[in-house]
Amino acid sequence: MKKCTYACGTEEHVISRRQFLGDVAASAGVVGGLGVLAGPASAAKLAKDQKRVIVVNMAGGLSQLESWDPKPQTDTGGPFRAISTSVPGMHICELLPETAKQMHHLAIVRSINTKENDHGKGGYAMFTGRRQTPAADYPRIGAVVAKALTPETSPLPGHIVISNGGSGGRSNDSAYLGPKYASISLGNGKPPQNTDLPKSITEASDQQRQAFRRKANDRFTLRRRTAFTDAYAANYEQGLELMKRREIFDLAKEPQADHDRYGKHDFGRHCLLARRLLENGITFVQVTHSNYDTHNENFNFHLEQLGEFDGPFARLVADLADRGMMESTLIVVMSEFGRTPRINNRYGRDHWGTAWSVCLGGGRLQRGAIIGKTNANGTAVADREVDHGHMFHTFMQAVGVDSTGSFDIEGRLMPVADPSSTPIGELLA
Amino acid sequence: MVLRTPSVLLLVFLASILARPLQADDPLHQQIDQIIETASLGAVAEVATDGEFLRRVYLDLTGSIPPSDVARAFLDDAAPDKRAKIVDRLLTSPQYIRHMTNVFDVMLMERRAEKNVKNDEWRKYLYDSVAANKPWNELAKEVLGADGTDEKIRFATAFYFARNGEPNLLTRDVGRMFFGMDLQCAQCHDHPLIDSYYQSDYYGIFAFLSRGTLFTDKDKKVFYAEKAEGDVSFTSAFTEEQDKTFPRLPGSFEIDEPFLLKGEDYTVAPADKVRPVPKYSRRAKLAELVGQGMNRQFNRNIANRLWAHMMGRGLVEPVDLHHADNPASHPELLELLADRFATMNYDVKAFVRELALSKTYQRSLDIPSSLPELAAKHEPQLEAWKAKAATLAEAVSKAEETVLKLGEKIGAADDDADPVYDELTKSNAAVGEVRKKSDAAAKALTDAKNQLVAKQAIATPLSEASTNANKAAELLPGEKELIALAQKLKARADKIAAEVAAANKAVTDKTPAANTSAAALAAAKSAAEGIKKRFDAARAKVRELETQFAPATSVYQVAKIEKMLVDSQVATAELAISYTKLTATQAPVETELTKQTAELSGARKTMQAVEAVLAKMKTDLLAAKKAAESMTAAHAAVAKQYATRQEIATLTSQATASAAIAASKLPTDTELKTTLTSLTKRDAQLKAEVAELQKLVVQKEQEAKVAVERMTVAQSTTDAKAKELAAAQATVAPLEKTHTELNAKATAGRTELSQLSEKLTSRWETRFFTNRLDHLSPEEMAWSMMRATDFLQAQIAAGKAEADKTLPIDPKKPDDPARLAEREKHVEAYVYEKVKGNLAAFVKLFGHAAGQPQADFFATVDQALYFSNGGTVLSWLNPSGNNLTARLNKLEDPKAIAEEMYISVLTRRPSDQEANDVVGYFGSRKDDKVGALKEMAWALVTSAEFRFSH
Repeated sequence: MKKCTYACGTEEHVISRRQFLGDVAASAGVVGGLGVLAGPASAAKLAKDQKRVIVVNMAGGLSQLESWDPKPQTDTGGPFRAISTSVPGMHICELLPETAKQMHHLAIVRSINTKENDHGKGGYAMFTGRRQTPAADYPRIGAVVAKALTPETSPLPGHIVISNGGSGGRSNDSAYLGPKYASISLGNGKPPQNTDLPKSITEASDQQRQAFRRKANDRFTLRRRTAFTDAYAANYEQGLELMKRREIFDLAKEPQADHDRYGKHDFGRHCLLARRLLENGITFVQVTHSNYDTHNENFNFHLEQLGEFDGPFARLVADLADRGMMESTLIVVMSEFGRTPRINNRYGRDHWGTAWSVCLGGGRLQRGAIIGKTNANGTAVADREVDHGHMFHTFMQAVGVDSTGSFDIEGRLMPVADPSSTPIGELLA
Repeated sequence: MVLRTPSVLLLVFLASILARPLQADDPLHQQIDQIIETASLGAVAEVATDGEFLRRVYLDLTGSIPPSDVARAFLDDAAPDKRAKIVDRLLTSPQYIRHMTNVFDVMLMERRAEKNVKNDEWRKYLYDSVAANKPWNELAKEVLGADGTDEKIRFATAFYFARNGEPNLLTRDVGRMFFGMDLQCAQCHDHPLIDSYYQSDYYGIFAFLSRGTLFTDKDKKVFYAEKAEGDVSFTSAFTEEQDKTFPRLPGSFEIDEPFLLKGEDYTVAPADKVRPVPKYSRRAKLAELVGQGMNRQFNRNIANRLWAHMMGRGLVEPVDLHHADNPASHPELLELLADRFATMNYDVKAFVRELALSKTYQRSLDIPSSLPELAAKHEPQLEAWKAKAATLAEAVSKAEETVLKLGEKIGAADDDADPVYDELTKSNAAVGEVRKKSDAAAKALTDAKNQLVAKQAIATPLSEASTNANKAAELLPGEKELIALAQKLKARADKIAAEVAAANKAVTDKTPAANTSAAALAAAKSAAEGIKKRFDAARAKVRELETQFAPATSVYQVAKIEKMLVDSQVATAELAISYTKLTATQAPVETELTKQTAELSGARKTMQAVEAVLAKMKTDLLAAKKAAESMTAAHAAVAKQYATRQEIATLTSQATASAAIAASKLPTDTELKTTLTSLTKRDAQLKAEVAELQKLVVQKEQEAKVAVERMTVAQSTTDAKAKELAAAQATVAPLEKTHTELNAKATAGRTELSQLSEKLTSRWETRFFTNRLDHLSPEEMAWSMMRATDFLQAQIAAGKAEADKTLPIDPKKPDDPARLAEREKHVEAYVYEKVKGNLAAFVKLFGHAAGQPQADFFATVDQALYFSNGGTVLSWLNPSGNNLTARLNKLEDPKAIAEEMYISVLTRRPSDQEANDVVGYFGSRKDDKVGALKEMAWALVTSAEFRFSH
């Protein structure tokens, strides 16, 4: 039962309180750690170089054996074959023939052991990089990415989750990073809320009231001006800018040919919308494909589900590569966990956080790499075991965020990723 | 460690630094001002204007901007004590209760969802507490002690319920909200970013709470329940070191606890569907300790939070990060406030009142103009101060060493006690085991005895009956039935006698076991008691050392505070000095720049004038050239025509002469004569023509000559002007160059100055030398917008109408203060219920997520869009009843409109410029007065001043 010791508290040791705008200047808002991000860049450069992330959430728990880590001809392998891919020596499940042709853009981590077999806890671990504990809440990956990578001046929301029920409203998944980085849920073509001038107000009237507001602000800020007064005032301008750009949320503006290529089903449309959003400078987009929780009829379900997933996903990868966006865009396909190698008596596979896979690519990641492996029938990690902490660090490093640094939230330093974990160094080019 | 009286050392120290020593009975607001002014070296901002003050005090005490009529009256009130009067008036208003309810609600619950107790119920508990001005320590005691069994404070259980009674979550939030220490990351390891938060701090609080859970009774009613056992030990995630702790408040020592033998530690023992009640509750102990107000960190935390509420920012900021590496901006003031709030018996209203009355609270937003004086005055002292700081640093590290050494000693003594405690725990567990056996043996014996008594109870009457029956049978030998009955009775009596004997034997048999196990229990108990004595002895050693700790820390703290004050004064003075110096060096640069700009612009003007003239000349020259060319060409053309004509004329003349000769020789030839006549006529004509042409040629020649001359003149004046221009340009060029250089220098200076100014502003505001810009909370924004637009007006009227029915004013006692107050409270409650939905909408948009700190400012695009395009706020701006736009629409004079609008929205009169802008706005919207009113009012409620100025 040791006593605490008391450190000396001189002025020099005071926690450095970076100013709000200081974050803008650093463009990443990350302090400390090894590689603090580059300084301010011009808007054009930012638009081109701005790093982005798309996460495809295979909700329910994709089977690694029917996707990234097939084990044909074993007691656990199931009925499907493994096929070769565009990367020599890399094999994936035959349910992903289109994706197989794009694997030279992607990598696979086959040795994940999160020790979580619960949907909620597993998802929490993968999407926050930390284990769920009652006393703390951590921001989701989209919020972290949005905070670290979205330019402060951007009128666009940095964190978008595409879903069928998308209302254009803000949700609650950014924990201490604050509501600015919470996700906006989009779907069904609805733009963010209130991006339309009400009928009662004419363009001219809007311009006049905004001009009067600006004048009032200018007068007041002559007296006292802070990062907050600037941010508050700028917010209205960003609102006007977003109103001008609300078309970027409108999937109908994509060419018919692309609609045909991606398919009419939800997942296809959502992938196409994701492409449109990423191209227009949205930092983080999450697309969900549901549902892989195949306790019954695992093989039929995967045949059907992956049949829908394979084409649009492969096209999305190919399109991003064609547009030269792979260097700036991290692609992640993940679930809350994998599925048991053991096939149960309902031809299903159950929850399995012990030895499963994630497919990822783009940004600083090595193309065509395979990290780690499982044993012959997939019942355990055989080499290079990693968990959600390593994965989260790696996601961040892939888009140039110093995952060992911290966010300064109004004087509170909050580590970007779990400080007791590290990135997968060999996966980073 | 009795901390309720101010630390003597601190008072001595304060006396030594302040211009006029603090008197213990000085009002707190004066003491605050003295400390701040001393720290600021005198460079504090001016007193805020009446409007600025009124807006601030209304928002801080009632959560809304003032109504326009109140604002107008206050601005026009000449009474010198009007500020103190309004403070007292607001403190007794129902809006104060509502607002402080909200402040404490958000502070303690951080907008968590309700569980088991409704948020409205919890708020009612807070509302009643604020209305009764319940002291903070009592409120804290109730919140931390409530378990749901006491109906009077059942709603206070919301603090535990909303967190599901989860001990880790509760530990974190008790640490943050009641002690100002966010120990979240110290849960798994010593805080990774903050060196002096230790796992033991976290687990010290955790130990108070770890035995608790939620309990649901058969009626589905939820309570908080606690066990009597469970010790806390912990392992670092990094070092894998293990340690354990008794309950301990932050900055304090582990507490001594009553030792209860196993089996004697529950009032209600745990069992299925039974809410256990331990004899000693650690959580009740936490509530009790908190209620005593003995913990300095508890006092600092609340003093700092109330300060932050009034001043817009804590002395320690963030308010839940009290920590050696994040010291208070004025540690001496924090200590004073903590002490004074405790001696004021945690009277929130009285404390807040003192803060509101301080000059520090009433400072304006502007940076003071007296910086140069300050700089000049203190520059000579800088070196001496720095030397002093160096000396003090030594004193600090010496005192720190003493504290650390003592800490180590205590730690060692504590470690010595650890194994004894382990022994004690084991031996108490043994008591539990032995007690089980002993209880079983005792029960067996008791059962046997009971059995014996029961058998005996039957045996005695039966034996008597048998004896009597047999006697009767002997007397009546013929009665066969009787004989049979007597025999039966005998047999039965014999049997029971045997059973009694057996029962007796059982009692005899079980007695030794019972005795032995009772003896074993007694032995186990006494063993435990024995170890307890050893443990007490070991703890006594720890305690003995701990008593030395308080004075040692006190010396250390005062030394540290003194050093920080000197450091801070050096930093303040240095900033003022460099700012003044830079201003001083910048001033001549600016003057020179102005001068050079004037010179340059003069030279440029001259040059431009020449340029303009030259340009004109060039145009003229070009015209002259063109004229000369065309004139010369015209002359040439005419000359050519003349030559041709002359040639014809000559030939005609010759022909005429020849014809005349011929005609004179052939006078009869009429044809010839006719021809001659004709020729002569033509000749005369031609001559005349030639003569005309000749004139024309001369004229054209003359004209051409003039034009050429003009051109020549134009050329030469142009040339001369061009030379003049070259000269002017030669003057401008070097001026331009030096000006550019100087301008660059001035710009660099200005940038530096503005950066320095930003630093200065930030230092001045974080140290309360000037007022800080503070954003409105979601509720404050909602109330203020509803107030500014006067959307509330209709609700208030309806509330009053209801009060007229339910709480009518007695015509005989129209001024009955109790009734009036009651009515006011009623109307406020009515309005609150009506606008709850609006408050919720603003909270959703402007509030942080549940369970997150709520104070930080953030701006999201959807907020701006909600105001710009959303229906709610726009509808408040539609004229209706007597709301803002309706009221303004009734006014004719644009200046009067401007005044009413600015007072209503911004609590001040407009400047002349602003009034003129309003007039101008109407000028451009003659067709649509209401539209213009709505637009301008919208612009003002969405302005930065509305959101930040208070």
